Amino acid sequence: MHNRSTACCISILVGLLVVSVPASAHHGVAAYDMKTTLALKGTVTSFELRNPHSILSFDVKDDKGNVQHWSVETHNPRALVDLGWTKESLKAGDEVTVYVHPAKNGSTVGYLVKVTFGNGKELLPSAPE
Amino acid sequence: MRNRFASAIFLTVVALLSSSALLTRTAAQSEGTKGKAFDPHDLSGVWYGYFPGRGAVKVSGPGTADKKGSIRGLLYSSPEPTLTPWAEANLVFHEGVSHGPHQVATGAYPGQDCDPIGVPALHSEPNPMEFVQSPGRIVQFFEYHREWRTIWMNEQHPQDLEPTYMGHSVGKWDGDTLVVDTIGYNGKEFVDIDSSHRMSDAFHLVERYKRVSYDDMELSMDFYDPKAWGTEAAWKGVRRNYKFKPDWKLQEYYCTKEEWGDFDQKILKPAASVK
Repeated sequence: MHNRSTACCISILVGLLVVSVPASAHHGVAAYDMKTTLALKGTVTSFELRNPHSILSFDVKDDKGNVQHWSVETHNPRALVDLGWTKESLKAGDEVTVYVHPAKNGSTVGYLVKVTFGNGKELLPSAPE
Repeated sequence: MRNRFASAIFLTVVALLSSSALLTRTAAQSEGTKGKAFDPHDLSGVWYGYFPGRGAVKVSGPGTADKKGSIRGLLYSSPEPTLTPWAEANLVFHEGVSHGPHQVATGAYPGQDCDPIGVPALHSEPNPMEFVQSPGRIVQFFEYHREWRTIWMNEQHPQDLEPTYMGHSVGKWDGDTLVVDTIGYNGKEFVDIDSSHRMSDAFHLVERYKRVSYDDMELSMDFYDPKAWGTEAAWKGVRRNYKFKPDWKLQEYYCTKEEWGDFDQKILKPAASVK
């Protein structure tokens, strides 16, 4: 749980994503490592399009079959719907890769960067540059 | 009779053209809005405060990112002045801060427990606001938390202000810029969403709204807080950009303890816990 190296991260992209760092309302983003992006391949367990922030939850299985449960926050409905998201954008059982700025403290929570599907479709919480 | 009728039509047309010319002074149009006339003194309608990176507005130049990866660098063109010892002792939320001074206060944040957020922190939210202009006042409605305030035009601040969350705002036009001056805060609100400290009750905010095209409005803010930063220092040039959304209608967005409690449990507390 606390050792992220056991997670099924297919890659770690380190870089300063200056142009794609939207704000997280209320509480800022300093609890997250905004310079690190994890790519987590997993299965959606729920997607809550809601205030104050939408939450995507998913399970990530490592090579040994251990499952980590992740919950990542993203924008509220106003911002996401403006970008074409709906409550049905992500459904339980969807196999996805979730790109996340992880919590600095190692918890399996984070800040959503984007979601990709096997067919190449992407969901972005921010408009592309 | 016919002459009088023709004269009336002529005068009406002249009046309409004159008022139109006055009301639709065109300014330099940003790309994509060329040809759209606008009245720089008419800010009525819904505006969306985009963050850099949301595709609509980019901010470049100094402070586009800071070493801590904080979004603060994206919003502020100048660094925050050094806090006074009094401010360190009285305004900073030390408890629960696990990421160093002046990073997020994990045990406290703007709007915690659905407390009012107020201005200027509301400008940090990627949510729309609406100006409603009426004689002698401009009312500003923020969708987020359903907070609002009145900007009293061409008035002075009262001498005996009762401190409030929103403070007391007076406005005036300086050319095509709406200058809003706010004092009278109760000192219970954060300066911005990414701050670990509150403003003091001496906080003084100056906002400058300038509609630069039909679609775009720029906001520049200067923060003064002699208790927080001393009498000589100020935090100037804090910027936001707003996009005009004439077709948008503000939606209901109350803060409720139930929704925030759930979010706290699922996200905030795990992210803030000490490992």
